[in-house]
Amino acid sequence: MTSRLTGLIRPLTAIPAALVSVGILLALTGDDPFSAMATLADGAFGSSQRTGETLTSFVPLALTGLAVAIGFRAGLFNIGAEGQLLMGALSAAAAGPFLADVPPVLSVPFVMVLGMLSGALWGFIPGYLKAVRDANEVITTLMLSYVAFFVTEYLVTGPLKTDGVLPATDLLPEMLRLPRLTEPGQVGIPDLGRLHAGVFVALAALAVAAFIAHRTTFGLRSRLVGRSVTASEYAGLDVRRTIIQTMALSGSIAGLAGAVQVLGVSYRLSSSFSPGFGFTGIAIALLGNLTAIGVLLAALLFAVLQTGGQVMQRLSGTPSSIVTIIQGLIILFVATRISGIKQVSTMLVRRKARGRRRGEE
Amino acid sequence: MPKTDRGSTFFDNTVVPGGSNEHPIVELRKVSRSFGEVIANESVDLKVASGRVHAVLGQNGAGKSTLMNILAGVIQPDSGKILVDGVPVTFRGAGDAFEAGIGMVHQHFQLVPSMTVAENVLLNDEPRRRGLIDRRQAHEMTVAALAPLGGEIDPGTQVSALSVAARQRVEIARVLRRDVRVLVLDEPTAVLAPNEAVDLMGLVRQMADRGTAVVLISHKLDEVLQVADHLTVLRTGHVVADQAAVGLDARSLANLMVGREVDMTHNEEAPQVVGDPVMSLRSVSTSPGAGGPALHDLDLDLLTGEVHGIAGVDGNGQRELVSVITGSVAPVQGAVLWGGEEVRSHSVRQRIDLGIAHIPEDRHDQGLFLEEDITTNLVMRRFQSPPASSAGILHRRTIADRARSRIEEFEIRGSAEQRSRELSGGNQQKVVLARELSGDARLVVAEQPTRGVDVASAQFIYRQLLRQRDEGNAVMVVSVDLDELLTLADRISVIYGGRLISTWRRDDFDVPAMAEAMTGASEATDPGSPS
Amino acid sequence: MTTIAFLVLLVGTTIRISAPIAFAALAATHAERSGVINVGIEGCMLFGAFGAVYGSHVSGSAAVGVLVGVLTSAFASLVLAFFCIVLQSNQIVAGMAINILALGMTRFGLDQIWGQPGVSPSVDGLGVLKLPLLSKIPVAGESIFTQNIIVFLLVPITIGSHFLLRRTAFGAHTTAVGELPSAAASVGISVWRTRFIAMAISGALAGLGGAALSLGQLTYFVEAMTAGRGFIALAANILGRWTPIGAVLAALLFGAADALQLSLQVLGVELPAQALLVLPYLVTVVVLAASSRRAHAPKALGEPYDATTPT
Repeated sequence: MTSRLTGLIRPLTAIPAALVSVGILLALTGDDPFSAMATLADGAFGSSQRTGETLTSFVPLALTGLAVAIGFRAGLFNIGAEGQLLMGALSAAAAGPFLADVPPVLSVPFVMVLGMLSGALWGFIPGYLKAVRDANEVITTLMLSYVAFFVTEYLVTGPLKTDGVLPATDLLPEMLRLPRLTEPGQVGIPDLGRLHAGVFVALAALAVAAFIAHRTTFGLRSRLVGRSVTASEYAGLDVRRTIIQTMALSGSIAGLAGAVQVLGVSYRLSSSFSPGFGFTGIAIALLGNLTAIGVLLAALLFAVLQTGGQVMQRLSGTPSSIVTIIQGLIILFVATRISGIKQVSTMLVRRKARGRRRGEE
Repeated sequence: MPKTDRGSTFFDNTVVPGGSNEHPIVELRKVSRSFGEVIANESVDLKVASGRVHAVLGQNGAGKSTLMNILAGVIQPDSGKILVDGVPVTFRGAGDAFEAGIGMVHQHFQLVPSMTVAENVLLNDEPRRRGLIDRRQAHEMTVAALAPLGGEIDPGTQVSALSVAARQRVEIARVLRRDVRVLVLDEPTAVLAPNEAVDLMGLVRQMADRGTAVVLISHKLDEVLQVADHLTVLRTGHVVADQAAVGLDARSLANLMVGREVDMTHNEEAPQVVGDPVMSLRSVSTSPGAGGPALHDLDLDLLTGEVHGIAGVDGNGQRELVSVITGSVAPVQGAVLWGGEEVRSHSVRQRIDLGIAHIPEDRHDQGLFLEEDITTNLVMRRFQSPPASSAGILHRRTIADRARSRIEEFEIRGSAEQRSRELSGGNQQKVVLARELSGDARLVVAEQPTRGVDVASAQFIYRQLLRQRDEGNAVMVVSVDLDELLTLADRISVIYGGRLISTWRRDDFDVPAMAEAMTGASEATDPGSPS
Repeated sequence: MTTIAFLVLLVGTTIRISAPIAFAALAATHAERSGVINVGIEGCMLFGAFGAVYGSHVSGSAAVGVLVGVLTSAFASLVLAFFCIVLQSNQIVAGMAINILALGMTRFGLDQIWGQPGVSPSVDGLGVLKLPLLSKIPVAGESIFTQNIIVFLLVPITIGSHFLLRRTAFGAHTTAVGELPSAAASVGISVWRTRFIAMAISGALAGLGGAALSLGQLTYFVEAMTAGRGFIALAANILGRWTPIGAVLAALLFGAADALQLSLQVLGVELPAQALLVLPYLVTVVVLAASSRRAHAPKALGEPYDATTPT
C-alpha cells in the first residue's frame, strides 16, 4: 500500500513544481502569471461550452496517454503515438465516405476498428523490429511518425483531396458522425458545445485497459517483460511475442484516438490535423503513473491546459507555448526518481556530518 | 589438503615476525556504517600491520565487504575514525585510499573487458607525451607491473581474451603498482582452481614477507588457516574475535563465525532406491557462446531419487549445461532425452510444463522480479496455465491463496504483498525454492543454491533439496563449493572445459582426484561412469 | 546533366545537408561513450539553432551567433545531465522532456522577441568558404569544395574527437566510465565529473549542429526546424558503432537520402514531394532494422551510477 502512495508523490509534486517554474518564466517576461493562470482556468471551464470543449480535448489525450502508458508498462518507449494516431485518422477519413449507405450501428464501430487496425500496424512495425532486430524503438517510432505525416500530407493534398481549395479529405457522411451529447438551446441541460459520444469510447477504453492490465495473463506478461527481460526469459515468457503484441496494442489505441477524433470532431482529415496529441500523450502517461485512473486524471489536466491555453492566448496575449513548456517541465520532474533525490540529500547530509567531525578533531 | 603434481604444499602455519598491533599502518577505530535500516558494521576496530597476512572472516551478511570497502575508501563510514600511520584521514573515494597506499582487489574484477591489459593497468595513471598517451612507455610500464606476478601476459591483449586467473593477475598488478602498503583481497580464490589457489596463496605469502600488509577476506577456512598470521572474525556487524592465527581449526572458526555449534547437515539417509534416468544427455555439444566454453560431447544421466552434484571451477561450462537442460539453449549436436523422448528443441515454457524446476544462480536478475511482490514471484513461471488462469484471465484468489500457503510452508519472512527486493537474501532464495519445489517438479536443477545465504537458511535449503530426492525426484546441484556437494550429493561429476571429466558415487568419493579433475590435470577414465 | 555531374552534385549536396546531422551524431557519440543516453540532442540542437539566430540578431555577427548557440545548447545539455547523472532520472524520459521544452521555449522565444509566430526574421548568416585551389576544380570545385564555413569545421572536429576518445587519457577515462564505472571509480576517476564533461561536449556539438542549420543552411529560425535530425543522429551513432568517424560517415549516409531528394527535384523528376521528403526517415528505419546494436554499445549505457553505495 505504501508503495502505491509513494508512487503518487512524484506526479503530485511535479505539477506544482512545473507551474511555479512557468510562473517565474512568465513573471520574467513581463506577464502577470496569476492573471494568466486565471484566464487559463476561465478558458477551460468558464462556461458550459468551454467545459464541453475541454472534455472534447480530453478524448484524444486520454487515448494517446493510454497508448503510451501501455507501451511504457512493458518497457517500450512509444514516442510515435502521433504517427499511429494519424494513420487511424487517415483510415477513418478515407473509408468513411464509402460507408454512407451502411447503418451507423455497423459503420461506426467498423470505422473505429479500422482505425485501430491501422494504428496497430504502425505500432507492429517498430515492435517487430525491436523484438527481432533489437532496433531502438525510440528512433523507429519517431521516424514512422514522420513517415505517417508525409503519407497523410500527400494523400490529403493529392488523391484524397476534396473538391475546392482546402487540403483535406471529403467530409464524412452525416450518419457516420458521432452524435454530440447536447444541443444548444435545450431547456434545462447545459450546452456542452462540441462534446461528442467519443468520450464514452475513451472511458470504455480506459476501463478495458485496466482490466487487461490487472486481470489477464497478457497484462501480467507485459508488465513482467517491462520489469526484466532476463527474469522473463527465465520464467518462460515469450518476450518477443509480448513486445510485438504490446506495441501493436499501443498503436491500436493511438489509432483509435485518431479515428474517434475524425468521427467526432473534424469529420475529415486535413493538414495540421493534430496539435501534437501523440507527444502530449507521453507526459500524460508519465504523470498518470501508467495507471488507468492516473491517465484519466492527467488527461483531464492537460485538456484543461490545452483548451485554457488557447483561450488564454487569444484573450491575454500570453502565448500558448507556455503549455508546451509546462508539459516539458512536468515530464522532467516526474522522471526524477525518489531514489535520486534521496541520494543527493544523503550525500549532502554525510558531507555536513563529516565536516562537523573534522571540525571537532 | 590437495597436493598438486608439483609437490608443493601449503605453507605451514607459523607466525611470521613483521608488523605488530602497536604500529599498524592502517587502523579503523569504532567504525560504523548502516544502509537504511540495516546495520552493516557496528563499532568495529581493525588494526592492519605491515608484513603480515590478516584474514577477515565471517558469514555472508556479517559485514566483511562493507568494512573492506570503507578501508579502501569506496564508501564512507557513518561514524568512527580511519587512521593511517596514526593520523586520522577521510577518504572521499577509492582514489584517496589509493594515495594513502591502500588498494583493493574486488571479487568482481574492476577490469574493462573491451580495453587492453595496459589500458586497464594504467587507468588514471597513463603516461603522456604531448597531450596523447605514450603507448610505448605504457607498454613498458605494464610489463614492469606484471613482472612480480609471473606468467606472460601481453599488455596489448584485450582483457576479454584472458582466462580468469590471468585477469586476476592483471587486477592485482593494477592495484599493486600504485605503491600500496595495504593490499585487500576479497575472496580471491573463489574463481580459481585448487592449484591456482595454491599459487596465489604463495604469492600472498611473498608479498607479506616483502613488507606489504595483506588483508584477506575469505570464507574458505582451510585456506585461511594455512596462510594467515592474524584473524578478525565478524558476526552480524560486530567483531567477535581478533587474534593471532594460532591453534585454531576449521570447526572452532566456524563456530566463532556463527556463534553456536554448527550443524553440518550430512546426507546420512540411506539413499532411496535409485531409479530410471528422468533426463539424459547424449553426446551433447553446444556452440561457443559469449560467456563460457562450449559443451563437448557430453553425456549425463539424472536419475530419480538421487542428488547429482556438478563440481567445478566457475566458468567451465556449468551455465551452458544448465541452459541445455532448462531449455534456454538448444544443442547443436546430440540428444536431450526426457523419459526417453527427444526434447532438445523444447522451449523453456515447455520444460517448465514437463516438470523441470530451476533454481538459478542469479536470483536477482533471473530468479526474481525484485520490484514485484512475493505473490507474483511465486506464480511467475506458471500463470499462463490452470489453475492460475484460464482463457487468459487470471484467477487472482487462487493465486493469492496458494501464495499464502507456500509462504507458510517455506517459512518465508515477509508478507504476500511485500516487494521481494525488501527481503533478505535467505528469504529471497526461499521464495525461489517455494516456487520451484511446488510438488509437480520431477527434476530440480539448483545452481549455487546457498550463495549469499545465511547458515540457517542454507540448512533449510539443503533439507528441502534432500526432501525432493526422498520423494523420488531427480536433483542436480551445480556448485563451485566442493564441500557443499560432498555434504549433499549421492553422486558427483566434475566439469572442466565443457566436458564431464569423471563421476564418483558417494561411497567412492575421492576428494584429491576431484580436485585434480577440476583443474583439468586428469582426463582419467572414471571408476564410476555415468549410470 | 551527365551522370558524373549528377553524382558530383549529389556528393556536394550530401556534405552540405549532412553537416547538422554529423555534428549531432558526434554529440551522440561523446555522450553515449560515457554511458549517458542523450535523447535530448534534438532539443539541444533546436536550442542551439535558436540561440545562434538570436545571437546574430543581437550582435549583427554570425560568429557571435554561433557562440551563443553553442553556449545555449551546452547549457541545456548540462541541465539534462544533472537530471540524468545526479538525480538518476530515466535518461530517455528526461531527454524527451528537454525536447519538448525546447519546442515550447523556442516557440515562446519567437513570440516574445520578434512577435511573429513560426519564423524569425533573417539575420546575418555564416558565409560560404571556397577552398583555395580545390574550389577551382570544374564541377566538383563548385559543389564539393565550396561549402559553408561551418561544414569545413566538421573535419577538424571529427578528427579531434577521434584523438580525444582514442588517444588521450580523458578518452580512456570516458570509455572506462561508459563500460564499467566502478572500475573507473576504483582508481579515483570521478564518474560523475567525466559524464558531465562528456555531456557538455555533447551539448556544444549539438549546438554547432543547430547553428549549422539556422545560420549555415538558412539565415533564420523556423519553429521545430530540426525535424527529427537529432534522432537520426542517434541512429547514425549506432550505425557508426559509437566511434566519431563512424558516426560522421553514417550521418553522411542519412544525409545522402535527404540530398537525393533535393537533387532529384533539380533533375525535374516527377515524384510527389512527400515521397522524397520521407526518404531520410525511411532509410533510418531500414538501417536500424539491418544493423544489430547490442554488441557494440558501451556496456553501462543508460545505467545511472550510484556514487554512495558500493558495487
